[in-house]
Amino acid sequence: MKYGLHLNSESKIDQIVRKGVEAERLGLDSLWICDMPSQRYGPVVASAIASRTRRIQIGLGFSPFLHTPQQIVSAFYSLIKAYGERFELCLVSGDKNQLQKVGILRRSLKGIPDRLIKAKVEIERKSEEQGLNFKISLGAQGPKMVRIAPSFDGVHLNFCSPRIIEWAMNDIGRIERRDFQVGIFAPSYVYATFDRDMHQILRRSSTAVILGSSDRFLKIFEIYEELHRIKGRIDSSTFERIPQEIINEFSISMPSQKLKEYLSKIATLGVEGIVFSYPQDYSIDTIRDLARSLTR
Amino acid sequence: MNLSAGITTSASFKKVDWLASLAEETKLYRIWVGEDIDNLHDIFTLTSIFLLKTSLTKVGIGITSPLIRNITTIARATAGLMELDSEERFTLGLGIGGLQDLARKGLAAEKPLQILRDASYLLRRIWLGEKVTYSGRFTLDGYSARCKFKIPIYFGARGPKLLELAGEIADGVIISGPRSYIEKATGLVKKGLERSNDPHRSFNMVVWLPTVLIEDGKGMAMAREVVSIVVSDTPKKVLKLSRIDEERTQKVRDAVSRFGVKKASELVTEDLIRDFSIFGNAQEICEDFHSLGKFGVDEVVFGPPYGLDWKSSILNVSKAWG
Repeated sequence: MKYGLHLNSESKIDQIVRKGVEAERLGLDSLWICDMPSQRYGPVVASAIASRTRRIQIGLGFSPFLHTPQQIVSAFYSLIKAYGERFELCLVSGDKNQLQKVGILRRSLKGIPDRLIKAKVEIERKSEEQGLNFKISLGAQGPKMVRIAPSFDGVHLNFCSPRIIEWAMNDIGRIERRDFQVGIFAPSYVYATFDRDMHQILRRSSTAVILGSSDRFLKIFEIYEELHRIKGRIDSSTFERIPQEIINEFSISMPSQKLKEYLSKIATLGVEGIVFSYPQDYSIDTIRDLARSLTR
Repeated sequence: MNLSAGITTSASFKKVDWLASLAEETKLYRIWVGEDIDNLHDIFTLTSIFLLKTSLTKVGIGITSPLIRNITTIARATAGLMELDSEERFTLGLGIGGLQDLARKGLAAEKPLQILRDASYLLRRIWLGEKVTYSGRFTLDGYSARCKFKIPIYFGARGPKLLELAGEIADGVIISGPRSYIEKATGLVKKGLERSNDPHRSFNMVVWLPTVLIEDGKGMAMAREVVSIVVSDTPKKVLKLSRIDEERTQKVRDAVSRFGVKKASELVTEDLIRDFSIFGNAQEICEDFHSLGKFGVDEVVFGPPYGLDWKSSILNVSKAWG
């Protein structure tokens, strides 16, 4: 199992770099930066981290609705030439609300799965022309997205409960390619000592993931009805109204000593990697808590 | 007057690495990174590499176009670049972009004044941390980047109206075009500056012309090639204002579009090279650069193609500069 840490790019770059350096020192396998319209531009953050680290893999999440395939390839070209072949791309559709804020209208987001495959093919072609070598995975949650995962080099599933992972593995089907990897990318709070405030941040973060889920996906897992009522009245307290059992489907929240058991369980389902997302990167201490849990 | 070096996103990484490692030793004032649209490097990532590999030399984007990516990407990326060091060495150059490049991408550059006015207005509001809603060429709907920066914006300009607008609202200007146009261009910028709300503000005038170091008579073919490209991309209005005989340039423009740069370069005369580039030995190049000071130019850019041996060309010119 490979372990990664998602670094939230809302923090200042020097703080993000400090966390990245610490994650490498602690032996984590990868760092992930998601290029979201409200956050710092991913490749610049990745460049700053890469300039201060030596071996850790750096993943970049990009939406092809915000950047053209050529622009994505160009960013990888500069990063790989300057810092070596330790970068990976994850294509995501992007948060519709955030895209709308930057002028990308919802109606222009039709046929997302097809457009992601098309972008992947074009990125692959252009990067081969440049002699670049990097993996292109997919960030997926709903059934349509999970089904196109085999067209990529791997998939990062945006949920973490064993029952949903099992459904996804069945849907993805048997993939013969040895380099295809299934990973989990989920809001996480693995702790040595429980902190209520951190747990609240985790709930907020999970709520954002849950509210971005498609109705079809929620119906499959019989959580649509309950969430539909909540979705109808979204305000600053929404995250408090989502039942903990639903939060648990989408985020990892557990004491250190329980982590190994959870990881063993998802490994038996075929998961080969996990990226611990915000708020696990909240501070150097929370990153250290995670690293200690992984070495237990 | 300051001497800077120019490089573009189509440069090999070998060139990038070398320039970054020697920028401080050669006492270059600044490295300007120009965008060759859709060609090799990402402009922001490349600029970050220069900022991370140097500690004293200023680094600027000169230029990128707000037409080729979402305006918020420019805002976020440049905010990140500004954050990379505490000395605030970064400057953003904005321009419409090469007309041929834009046409290839199917982008229209109509109302260029409005485009640059809107782009700089929006970028400055985003950098102030404001929540911005706007519709027009750029559309934003309650967007906020949650940042607080003041980043100098220079306009890359050639046309008379854009030059005046640069003086009016930008923090600096990057002028390119025929040499005989520089006096006229700086005059237009000054006119805009005088008309602005704050005519006494700090304002930097930069001139970036293709430069070729000629050693032992070698390098003229390179100069001819670069001049044929520049001639074909210079707006006719600018050629007219430069009082350059249109017949001379039209032949080159036609040949570039019909036969390509190499063949067209055979039609480039020494007069045209003199009009559109800086060339000669290191001493002559520096003298030519210094001569631009009388027009109020603060900074000159030793830009590609440099010369047959780009390393020794940059070293020799920076040494001759003193």
